[in-house]
Amino acid sequence: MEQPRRPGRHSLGLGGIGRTFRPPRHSLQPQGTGGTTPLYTPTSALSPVPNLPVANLPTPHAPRLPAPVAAVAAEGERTIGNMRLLGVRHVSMPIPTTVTLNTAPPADIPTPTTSAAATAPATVPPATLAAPTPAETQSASPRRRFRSLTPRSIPSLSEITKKLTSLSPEKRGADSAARRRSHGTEGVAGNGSLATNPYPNFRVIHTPAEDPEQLASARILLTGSTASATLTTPSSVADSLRSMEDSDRDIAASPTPAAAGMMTSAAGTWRAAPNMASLPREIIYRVFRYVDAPRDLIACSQVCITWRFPALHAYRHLLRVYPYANMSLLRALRKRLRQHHTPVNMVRLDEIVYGLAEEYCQSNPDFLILSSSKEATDTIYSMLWTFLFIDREFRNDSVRNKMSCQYFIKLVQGSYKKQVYTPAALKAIYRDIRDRPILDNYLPIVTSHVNAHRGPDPVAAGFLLARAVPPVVAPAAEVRPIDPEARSSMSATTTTAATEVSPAGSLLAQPSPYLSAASSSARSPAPSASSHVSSVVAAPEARETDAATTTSVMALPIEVLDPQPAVDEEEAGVDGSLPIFDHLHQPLSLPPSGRPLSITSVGLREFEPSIFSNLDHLADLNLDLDLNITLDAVTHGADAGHSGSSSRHEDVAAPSQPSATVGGPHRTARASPSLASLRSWWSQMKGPARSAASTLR
Amino acid sequence: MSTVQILTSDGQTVTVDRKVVSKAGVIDSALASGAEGNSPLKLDNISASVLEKIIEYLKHHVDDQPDDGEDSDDDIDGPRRDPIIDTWDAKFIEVDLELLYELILAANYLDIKPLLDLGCKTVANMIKGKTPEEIRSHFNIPADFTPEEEEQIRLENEWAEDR
Repeated sequence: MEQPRRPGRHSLGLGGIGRTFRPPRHSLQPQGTGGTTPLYTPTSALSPVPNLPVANLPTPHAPRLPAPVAAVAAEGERTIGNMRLLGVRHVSMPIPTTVTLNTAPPADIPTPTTSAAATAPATVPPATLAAPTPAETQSASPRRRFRSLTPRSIPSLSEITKKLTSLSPEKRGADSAARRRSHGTEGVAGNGSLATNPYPNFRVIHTPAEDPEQLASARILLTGSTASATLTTPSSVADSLRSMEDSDRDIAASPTPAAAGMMTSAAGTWRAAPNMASLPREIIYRVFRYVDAPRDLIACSQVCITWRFPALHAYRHLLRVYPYANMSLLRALRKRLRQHHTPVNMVRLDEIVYGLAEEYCQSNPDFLILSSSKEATDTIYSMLWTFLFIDREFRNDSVRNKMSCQYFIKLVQGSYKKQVYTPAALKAIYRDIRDRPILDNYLPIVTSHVNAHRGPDPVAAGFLLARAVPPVVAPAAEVRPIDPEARSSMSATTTTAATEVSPAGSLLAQPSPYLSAASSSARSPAPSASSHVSSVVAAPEARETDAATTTSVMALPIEVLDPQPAVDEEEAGVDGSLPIFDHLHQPLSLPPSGRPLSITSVGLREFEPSIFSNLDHLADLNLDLDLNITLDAVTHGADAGHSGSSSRHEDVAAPSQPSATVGGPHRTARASPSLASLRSWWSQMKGPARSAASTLR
Repeated sequence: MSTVQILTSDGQTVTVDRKVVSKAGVIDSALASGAEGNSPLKLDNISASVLEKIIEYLKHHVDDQPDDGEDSDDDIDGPRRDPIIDTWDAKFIEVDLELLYELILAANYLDIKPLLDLGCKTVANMIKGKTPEEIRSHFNIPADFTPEEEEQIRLENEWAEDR
């Protein structure tokens, strides 16, 4: 027996079955002598009494005797359970009336097999209807066994298909007709011989026998009703058969409440109960297409055999088409991020989140009721980012005062006109995020270079050069106090000593032909700067010359300008928890002159439209975070942040440097580049720092 | 305004307006294929009461425009999300389960897609929010699982609990 699998998402019957399709090796070939005999009883054998239920005796062939379930399980043979979940039952029921008994019938009893034969059991020719003699069943056992396909006589799927393919053509036609009937249409179109069949859905279910008394019993179960007659006469099979013939009288005598519904005997014929389980299968599929909750579909799959496979099918479809149906927003976010095992950068993460917002709206049409569809998407999008914000804040050790739950509730609830979540739900969300990280577990974020994506012409956008300067921290060295007025003019002049390595020098040290070419070409008007790396670049004078050299820099071929993301991955490896929004802190530009190349908001906007559209969404939603920073502020902040970061390392040794005061907020943002620090940075930008920045502008 | 005679399964002959009854795909094609004679159409599977109900539905929807290609999502093999039922339809479909069953089958047989959808939506709405036991008792469905399958279902439920 197979190991009890751990319950998981594949334990719904679909995933588990496919693995067990391969039959056990010993059941590939039918045992005994009947391996090559035709596996199906010809129709002519049944033709004398086509209208009557035929009770097939199981083979009395001794080695093929059905054993108790436990013994079968010990052999490794598969029981019927999973097969029937696949709907194999329909394949295996060309003749609707089957009876399986667990004991071999005594060979000397002329067994009546049909109710017609019950009137004259002895006169039925044995070749057609009577119980086969032991000598005959030696060869005829496989075909007998197929006609009485009981649960345990289906060892494997391959054997069934073998049997099906071994059918003669006309038999195959009849079989498919029977299969069609067994799919449920016989309730309406009771055609042919089965129209007058008292048991249109007659079938036998093997009951595991706990004691030998039940071993000898056969349970007859009528699909479509609960009428079942358990024959508990262990002594004689003939008795049990006889009582089975009387089973209709038994049922009529003592009908179960469910059976009473179907016992509408009109003109002596039984009609199937108007039962939803006996709907045609395609209609069941159609019904389940309107059941749109996964929970309901799972419930349907546990109702009965007929519903199981369609419900599971619809369930799988539902999960595929609407993956976040009836899922909480936070759970959907976790699920979505869990699908990413490779690092993504910031832009990709933003796409992911926006895509998730759209998918979530489609999966949950209730959210569309909140507002129009686009607004609902935006609401969810910004809410997802809010979750990510506070997640980053919780994971950041350098944030001393985490956002409180009340503030979170106020933040979320104050942002939207219509409340999506109640405060209690928001509290639960807050605690969930606090206890379980969203981002760290699933999605490593690399720092994003904004133009890691192909855009319109990067050179024309005037952006690539600025980007190509990697945001590496300058090697730890002492940096001279920076000229205050030069800093105040935002020229970001780097003054380095002759023995020190400036950021430009670190660029030159890198094995990038572009960088060296760019820096050298940028310095070409200033011979002292180009000849000596350590030379001081005089800011105000050199700015115009740099502006002149910008054109020559931008004329560099694009393949030279190829970005090098390896630097960032190294950095990602060093710094374990790389923050999102980190690229906002990265010094986007540090041209050799110290003046950032032309990063205009217009250029970036047409270069990275997605970021700006999303940022605009955020800004429109009027979160408490002021996202409505202009790009110039980003540029200046990044610029100052870089100069602050270059002085970060020695800042510990010399905390009283002027850079610590000027680049203070940016420096902290650089040192703890996280969302919380971004938030504080924003708040400071809103305050006096922003006014200072505006004056700088 | 021609009429059509339909012979139901219980021997009654129902005379219907042809325009009404040609909403049903089967009857329409049968009429179009030349069964113009006076011999009534024979519907073996449909009893008179069900046919009466169907004709009531068809009479109400006789002026409806048939759904065109892009509107009907029949080709899309996936879940549908419009379980909204018209008011008149909702009143119409308030029948007992037996008649609902017959209606669905008859609509399937007669190829009346709106009625079939209506029946399916109704059944789906009955299913929603119920446990398997409730569904069984509501639809009078026996649990015909073997013990192995019940074991598997129990495992499923265990898994679903911590969801």
